[in-house]
Amino acid sequence: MEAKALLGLAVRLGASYADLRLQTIVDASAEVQDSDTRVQRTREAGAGLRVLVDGAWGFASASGKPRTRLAELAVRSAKAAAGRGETRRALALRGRSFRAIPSPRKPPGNEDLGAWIASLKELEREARRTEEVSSVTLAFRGQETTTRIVASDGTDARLAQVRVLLQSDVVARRGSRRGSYRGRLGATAGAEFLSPGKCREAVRDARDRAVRQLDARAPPAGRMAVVADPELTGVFCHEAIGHASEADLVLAGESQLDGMLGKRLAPEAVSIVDDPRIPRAYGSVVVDDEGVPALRKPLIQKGVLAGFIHSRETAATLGMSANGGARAESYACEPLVRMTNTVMLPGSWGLEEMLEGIRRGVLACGSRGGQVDTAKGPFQFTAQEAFLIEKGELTRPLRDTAISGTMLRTLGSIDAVGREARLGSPGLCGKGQWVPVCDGGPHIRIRQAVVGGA
Amino acid sequence: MRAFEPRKGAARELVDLALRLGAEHAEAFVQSRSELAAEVERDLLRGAHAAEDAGAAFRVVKAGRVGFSFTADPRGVKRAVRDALQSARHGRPGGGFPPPPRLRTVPGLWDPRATRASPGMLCDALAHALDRAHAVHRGFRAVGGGASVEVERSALANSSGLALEQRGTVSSISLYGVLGRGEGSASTGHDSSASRRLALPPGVGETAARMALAGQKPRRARSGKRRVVLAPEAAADLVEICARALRVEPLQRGQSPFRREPGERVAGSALGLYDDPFLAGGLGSGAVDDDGVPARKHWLVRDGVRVGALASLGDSWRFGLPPTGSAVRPGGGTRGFRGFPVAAGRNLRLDAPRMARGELLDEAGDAVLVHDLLGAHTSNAATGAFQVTSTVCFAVRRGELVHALRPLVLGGSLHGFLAGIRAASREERLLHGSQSAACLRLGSVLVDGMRVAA
Repeated sequence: MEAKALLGLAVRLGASYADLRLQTIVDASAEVQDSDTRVQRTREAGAGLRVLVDGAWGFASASGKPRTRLAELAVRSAKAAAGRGETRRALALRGRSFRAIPSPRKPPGNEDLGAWIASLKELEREARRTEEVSSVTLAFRGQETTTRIVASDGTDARLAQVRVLLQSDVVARRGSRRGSYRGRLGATAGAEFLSPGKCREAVRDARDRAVRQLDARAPPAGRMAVVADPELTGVFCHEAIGHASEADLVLAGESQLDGMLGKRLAPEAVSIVDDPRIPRAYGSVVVDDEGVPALRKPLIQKGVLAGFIHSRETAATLGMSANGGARAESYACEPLVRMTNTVMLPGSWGLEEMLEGIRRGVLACGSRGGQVDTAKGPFQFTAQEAFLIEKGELTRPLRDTAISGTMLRTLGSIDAVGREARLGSPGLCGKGQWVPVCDGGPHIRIRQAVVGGA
Repeated sequence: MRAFEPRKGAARELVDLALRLGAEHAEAFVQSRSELAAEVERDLLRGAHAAEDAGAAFRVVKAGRVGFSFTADPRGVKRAVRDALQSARHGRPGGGFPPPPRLRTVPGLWDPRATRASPGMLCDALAHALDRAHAVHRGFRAVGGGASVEVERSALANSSGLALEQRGTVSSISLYGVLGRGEGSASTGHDSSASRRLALPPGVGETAARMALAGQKPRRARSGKRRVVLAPEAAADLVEICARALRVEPLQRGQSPFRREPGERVAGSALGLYDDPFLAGGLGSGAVDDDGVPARKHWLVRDGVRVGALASLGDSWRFGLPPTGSAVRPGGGTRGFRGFPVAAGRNLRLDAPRMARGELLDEAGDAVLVHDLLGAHTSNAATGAFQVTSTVCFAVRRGELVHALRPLVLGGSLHGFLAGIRAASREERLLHGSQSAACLRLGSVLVDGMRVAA
């Protein structure tokens, strides 16, 4: 069924608003796992229809071409919930037309997967140049999506996105000691981004860090000063601040930042933005999944809570401007308020200056992931690598080091922000659905956090 | 092909097609899934969803190598088979598929009432759960949760003559909410229930609210090595990490903290860990696994000694070890056609000294009771080290909950965790894994000597 006819049907069935996302997805991947290879190429298409009936949302999705049944299912679902929740919902920003179709030089969907395997085997040899490396998994992944978003308010957006990623997992072994490191290199770009030189450097870096873990010891446990490297700073921004700044969580009462807009949360040196416009960054998008242009969103400006990430609905409910923060994993998912590239802006400190002031603490580098309880404030992230700081000097490597704290207390205890910022590794953020994100920033010093080693 | 019919005949036709196009061995998995869901926001119903998904996955062997692809477009079947054949050029080694199994019936996997579920039924169930929560405390704010019913039908056929149909239903309900506001003042509570039957118990609301109420006025926990009682959801996170490390693939590749060969003592002689695919009504139960291999009860740890490992057919081709009937196609709810079959626990269970939950708390004496774990996914798969944060935890003294605790970090190793298990409660729950396609049935677990940092 034609898109606009389906929307028309939804409206005739009782929807006051309807939007339809039609999507095609092409995935390509190649993997070398200790010399064993695997490649995969898949394609799919589907549609997701969202409707609003008497203040209740209904959503229906199906693989394949959209059919009349989609409108019936969505409206029936919404009607079942109508009268038991909000009776009215407003949406900020009326519909608009938009077209954002990039043309990468090497679309990953067309790539010769045999050539990818050859490159990965070359990289595997590089990873194994050190005899302590016992296991290597390397993978190239690429995804191309094309999406059309049509809504009953006149929105008609057509967009395409292309992403590529190299993931390197290296395990090193010396006797019974083990070290591991996961490195990721990726971009919102075609396969041309993964140049042989860049990939070689990324794999060498993962190898060297895995081997360095062999000499690492268990970290001390307890409260102490922590210096986070740019990657971990990014994870802190994402986990501790970014999630709590998602306006759907704020509205739900599930965020510690509810009611804090305009209040000072951190020293003046701390500014954090969610920026979907960083060229080629893994989380970048031009238009969100509601067809709204994705804008740079200041979250904390000079220490003061400056704003939230919004969907059209949350912006209208809070009386703010839509900023293009609604994203969906695929046509089968409803758009939710999500981050893109969440970064802390640079300050004025050098790393050595930061270390100088620490009697005993930890320098934590790289991230193995993190998680936050936005309602109560606790967060946790695990470093891939860490070093003990004693009297301002890095004295020995530490393994399996986790940092935890509560969001607001930790923000307030940042007392130094480095002057050199960079983006960290690309990743996927989960909130019931997975979307590609990135984060980063400079080194920061946290006066006190809980270090919990294994 | 006009539509994907999850019938033996349709799957056989696809196998024939793959053989005609050049496969030496072929397998086709055809699936259709429908899901209804409703969700909560701000103490009210936000809306309801309906999803219909259908597709076919192909696994082919050509020149002794395996290729895989899938499609959700009935007109894209030939292209998907060709994609699979092309990917076999760089695939892992593979052989023939399993012959028709002698099927054993597993009861309790299908509830015809689930096929008649409606969005209204789900909304009613959630509304009752909210009422029950508010009856406990009017200040409890439900910020998340939902109810869903899934109906899945599939057919699997291969070139060794296997052809079978399977079907299953799953219903689930959950509620998550907050009491109080602000860092240090807000407490949270949650509860969930999953079943193969159509069962949406509103009592999850009451449990969530009681947990939040009990969580008020938390105190700091004592740091050090402590006895810990892990509630089923928290225990499941750690058991799942163990089971992931006890797959043939990481063991054979030296990427597991456990020894490659069986026979390693990993726990006291009273402990066992096994996978039970014949569990009546189990979330992962089935007479055959997703490779078509007959399921069997499989011990991973018995009498404290590592005796087995989970293996898929792919693992068996690669490492020359027999498959254990543990393959799951990850994705969707119960399983998805987009996923390549991988080894995962079907229904992981602990065999430990059993007692009622009250007796378990008595046995614990002076301990910490933990209901949730943040960051389980950040554990180090190669070394087995983990650090996780609990935000819903309580002090236990002489078998009684005496007060709530502030967030704390639990650290340890998988070996230490298994060795520390003393007992498990008889009151067990069906759970979906949070980090993999595994399913579990677990009660609360008493563990000695976990490292607590607060």
